[in-house]
Amino acid sequence: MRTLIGAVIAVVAGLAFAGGGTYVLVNSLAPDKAVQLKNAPAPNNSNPDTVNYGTP
Amino acid sequence: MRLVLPAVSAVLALLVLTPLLGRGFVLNYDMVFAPDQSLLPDGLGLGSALPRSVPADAVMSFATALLPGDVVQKIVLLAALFAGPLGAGRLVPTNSVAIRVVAAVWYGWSAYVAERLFMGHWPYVVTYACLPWIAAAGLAVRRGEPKALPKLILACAPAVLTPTGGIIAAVLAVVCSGRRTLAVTVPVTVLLNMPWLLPSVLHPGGSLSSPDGVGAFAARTENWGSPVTSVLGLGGIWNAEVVPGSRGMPLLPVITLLSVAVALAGLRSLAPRWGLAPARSFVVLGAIGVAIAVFGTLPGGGDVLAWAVSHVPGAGLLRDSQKWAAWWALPLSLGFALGVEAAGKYLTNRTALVALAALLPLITMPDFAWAGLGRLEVVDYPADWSAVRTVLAADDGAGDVLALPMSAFRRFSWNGDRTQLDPAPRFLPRTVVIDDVVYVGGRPVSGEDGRVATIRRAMARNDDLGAFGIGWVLVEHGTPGSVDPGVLRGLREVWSGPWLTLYRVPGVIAPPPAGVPRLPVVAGDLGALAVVASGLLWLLLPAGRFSRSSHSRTAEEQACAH
Repeated sequence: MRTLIGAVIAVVAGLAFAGGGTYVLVNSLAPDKAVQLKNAPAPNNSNPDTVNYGTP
Repeated sequence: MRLVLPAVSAVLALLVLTPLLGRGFVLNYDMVFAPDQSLLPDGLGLGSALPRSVPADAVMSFATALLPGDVVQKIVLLAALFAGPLGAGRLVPTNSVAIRVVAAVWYGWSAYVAERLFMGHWPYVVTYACLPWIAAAGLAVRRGEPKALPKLILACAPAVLTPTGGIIAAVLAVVCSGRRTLAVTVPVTVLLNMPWLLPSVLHPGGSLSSPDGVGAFAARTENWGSPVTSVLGLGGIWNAEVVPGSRGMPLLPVITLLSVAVALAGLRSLAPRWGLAPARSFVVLGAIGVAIAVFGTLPGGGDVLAWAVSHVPGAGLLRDSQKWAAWWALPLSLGFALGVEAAGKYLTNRTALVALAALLPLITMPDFAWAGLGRLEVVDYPADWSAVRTVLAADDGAGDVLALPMSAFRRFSWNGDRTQLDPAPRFLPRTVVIDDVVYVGGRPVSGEDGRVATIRRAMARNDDLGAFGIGWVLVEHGTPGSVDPGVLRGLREVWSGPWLTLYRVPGVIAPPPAGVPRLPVVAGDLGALAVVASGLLWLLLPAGRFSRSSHSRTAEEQACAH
C-alpha cells in the first residue's frame, strides 16, 4: 500500500510539475505577443457597434 | 501554530490582490464600484429592472457613505479572499495544522474564485468565502451549541447580497443545521433573503427571463475534458474570456479526476467525526451543485432549462449554472485534505506529501496570482464623471437619466479597453436607465426590463423622452456603439467633456412608471436588517448568558429530580 501511494504521488507530482512548468515557460517565452495584446480589444469585441459581455 | 492558518490565508489573498491595493478602482465585467454610490430605488429593487444586485447596491451605498468606494472595494475583496481559505481550514475535523492548510489552499486558490473574480462577480466571491463559516455555524446549530444561531445569521449576512448568493448560503445553512432545526433555520434564512425576494415576487413585469441565454451561459469545457471535469475542478464558467490560461492545461482533467478520487476517499472519514447525517447531507449538496452546474450541457438539459426559464418565475437564476458548483467546493477541499491525511498514515515522509498537496493548486493555476498576471488593474475614473455627477446632484428637476449608446457594457481606453458594466447607474446620483440586452458571442440575449424596451421603441420613433420619465441623456464617448443624432435633436447640452456629454430633455417630464410597491419591500428590508441586528446583539449582549444559565438550571433541576 505504502509503495502504491508513493508511486501515485511521484507520478502526479512529476506530471504536475512538468506540465505546469512547461506551460508557464511556454507562456512566459512569448512576452512580445503579450505586450502587444495587452491593450488590444478582445477579438470578440472587434465589432465597433457592440460590446460583448463574453464568449461562450 | 494558531497563526499558521491565518498567515497562509493572508498570503493567498495578498498573492492575488497586492497589485490592486493602491488607490483607484478595479472595473472588470460586472464589477463596478463608485466613489460615493447613491441610494436609489434600483438599489432596493424598487426600479423597473429585476433585482439582480439587490441588496448589494444598497449596502454599497451605505458603505461608500462611510469610506471612499475604492477603499470599500479593496476591503471587500481582501476580506473575501482571506476569509474563504481561513474558514475552510478551520472547518476540517483534524488536529493537524498542515492538513488544515491543505484544505485552505484548495478552497482559496480555486478556479471558482479566479473565474468569478475575473468576471467581476464579487458578491459570489463573498458568498463563497462565507460558506465554510456558514457550514461551521450550521453544524454547531445541529449540535445545539450556545449562540450557534446568531453565528449562523452573521455568517449568512454577507452572502445574501444577491439572489444567487442568498440561495447558496440559505440552502447550505439549512442542510448543515439539520432537520430538527428546520422550524428556525428556514424562517430565518427566508427573512434574510427578503430584500431581493420581495422585489422579485412583486416585480410588475414578472420574473421570467429570456431563454436565449440558456445555451450561452451554460458551463463550458476548458480543455480536452468535458464540462463535468471542468465543474468538478470548480471551473467551467460560461465566459471563455475570464478563464485563466492554465485551465486549458492538457493535464488538468487527469489531476481533477485524481483529486476528486482522493476527496471521495477522504470524505469517508467525515462521517465518524461529524456524524453520518451531516456528513452525508454536506456531500450530497455538493453533488447537487455539480449536477445543476452541468445540467444544461446534458442531452435535453438545455431544452428543459430554456422552458423553465421562460415559464417558471425565478428560474432565470439557473442560467449561468456553474455558480451552483460553489456547494461542491467545500466537500472537494475538505475531502482532499482528509484524503491526504489518510494517505499520510502509510508514508514515512509525510511532510513531502502535505507540501505537494498544499502547493498543487498554485502549481496548476499560477496565473491567478498577481491579479491574474495583470488581468485586473487599478484605474481612476476620468474627471468627467465627477463633473456630471455634480451637475445632476445640483439640479432639483425631475427625470431619470438615459445612458447612450444603448449597451449594458462599455469599453473605455482609460480602463485598458476592458469590458465593463456601464458605471453610470452606480456613479450618478439619479436613476440611470441602461440597455439590458447583452451580446454573448455576438448574439443578443434579451433583457427583462419593460421600461428599456419602451424607451428603445420611443427612440426609434424620435418620440419625446420626457413622456417616459427621462429628464437627462448621458452620451458616453470612446466606447463601441453609435448614437442616433435624431435622438439628441432638440435636447439642450448641459455639460460636455472628452468622455461624457450630458443633455437636458426640455419640456414636461412625466413621472417614471410605477415599479414595485415600496411598503412591502421596505418592510422586508427592515425584517432582514432586524434579523442581522438581533444576531449581532445576541452575540454581544449578555442575553446569551441568561439563556445558558437557564439551560444549566434546567440541567440541575433534572439532576435533582433524578
